[in-house]
Amino acid sequence: MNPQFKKGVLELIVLESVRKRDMYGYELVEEVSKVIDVNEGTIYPLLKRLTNEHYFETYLRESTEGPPRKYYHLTAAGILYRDSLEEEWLQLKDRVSAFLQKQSGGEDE
Amino acid sequence: MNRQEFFDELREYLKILEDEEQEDILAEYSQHIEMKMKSGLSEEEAIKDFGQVKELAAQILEAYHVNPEYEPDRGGKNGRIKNMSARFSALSLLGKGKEENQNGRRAGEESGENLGTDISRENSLPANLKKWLLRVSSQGGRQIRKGWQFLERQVRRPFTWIRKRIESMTAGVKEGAAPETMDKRREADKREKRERFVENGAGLLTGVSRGIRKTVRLIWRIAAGCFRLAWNGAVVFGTGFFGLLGLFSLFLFGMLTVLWIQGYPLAGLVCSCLGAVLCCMSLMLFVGTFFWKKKRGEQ
Repeated sequence: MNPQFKKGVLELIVLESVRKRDMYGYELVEEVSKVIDVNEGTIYPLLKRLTNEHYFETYLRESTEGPPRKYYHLTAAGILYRDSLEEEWLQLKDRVSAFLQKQSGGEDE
Repeated sequence: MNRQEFFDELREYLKILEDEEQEDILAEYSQHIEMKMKSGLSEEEAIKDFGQVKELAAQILEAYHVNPEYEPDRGGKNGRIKNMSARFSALSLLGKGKEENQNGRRAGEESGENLGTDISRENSLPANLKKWLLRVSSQGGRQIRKGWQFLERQVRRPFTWIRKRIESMTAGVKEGAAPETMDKRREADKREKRERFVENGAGLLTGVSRGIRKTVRLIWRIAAGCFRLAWNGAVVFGTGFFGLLGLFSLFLFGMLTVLWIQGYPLAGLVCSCLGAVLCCMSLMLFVGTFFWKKKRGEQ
């Protein structure tokens, strides 16, 4: 798939996944991979950036399988940001679909 | 590539970040590799999934708004930063910038690099700056003193006018003596006159006129006293008011600083609060000097 497409929606998918429940890095990578195929390395920098911008909060939780894991939690600012991203995505989707339909409609005729 | 190589290479790219941040990032990747290995992959494969280490590092640095091209440990640039710090240790603002860059850990602060390029060409800048500052401050001081004296005169003019009027009034009572400022001398003259009248034995008329004059003088003295009282009261009130306001602002400033350090975006409010504190304190002192000067003038 076009990498630019993937890059564009990656943030939205990450934010939405964490909104559903707090996750740690590996879990999040798995969730996102269900939607789009993405380089795992790029998820962690994205998580770092979103944390630095205070959209995420992190906390450590003990795990039975090794060292404590860092969980990500969506802040209020993060929720607002996610909502704005979703809105923009829906708008874009509608406009591009409408544009393509018009084109294909024109060609059919 | 094995895990250690991967970490070493990544650490090399992320040198500019704080140690804590570096370890945090590496710990996350380490955990990720662990989990992948648990789900069956080998270490090599897990690391290959990350792609190019350089690109990965560039993306990580983007999260801190650091230019991935910035390399603080190159000899030339480091040398420049060291020279800058030696010359400008006096100018604390630049000194602070130098500290942050010498530790090389503050992400996103390219100010040290920019200063290095600008200032390295002008090595007479600090001397000129100092001379200019001295000149401006001495001239400024003179201007301020002149302005202060002018203001003082303006403010005192109504009071000196009133005082002169009072004195002229009392002088009018005193048969053409020169206007006196001391109550004591007025008292002495009054006594003298009283004695003279009594000596002359002028009788009831003189007694009445004396009484009238005394009451007039008393009234003027009361008026002057009241006015002075009002003025002193105003000054004291002003001092107290601004002092309290200053203390309140100081308290607010302290609270805002604590909150600011905790991470809230309050830099602007803190600065304006500091300004408010300084304003109130200086106003208090300004109003206070009226009181002291007046006291000294009376003595």
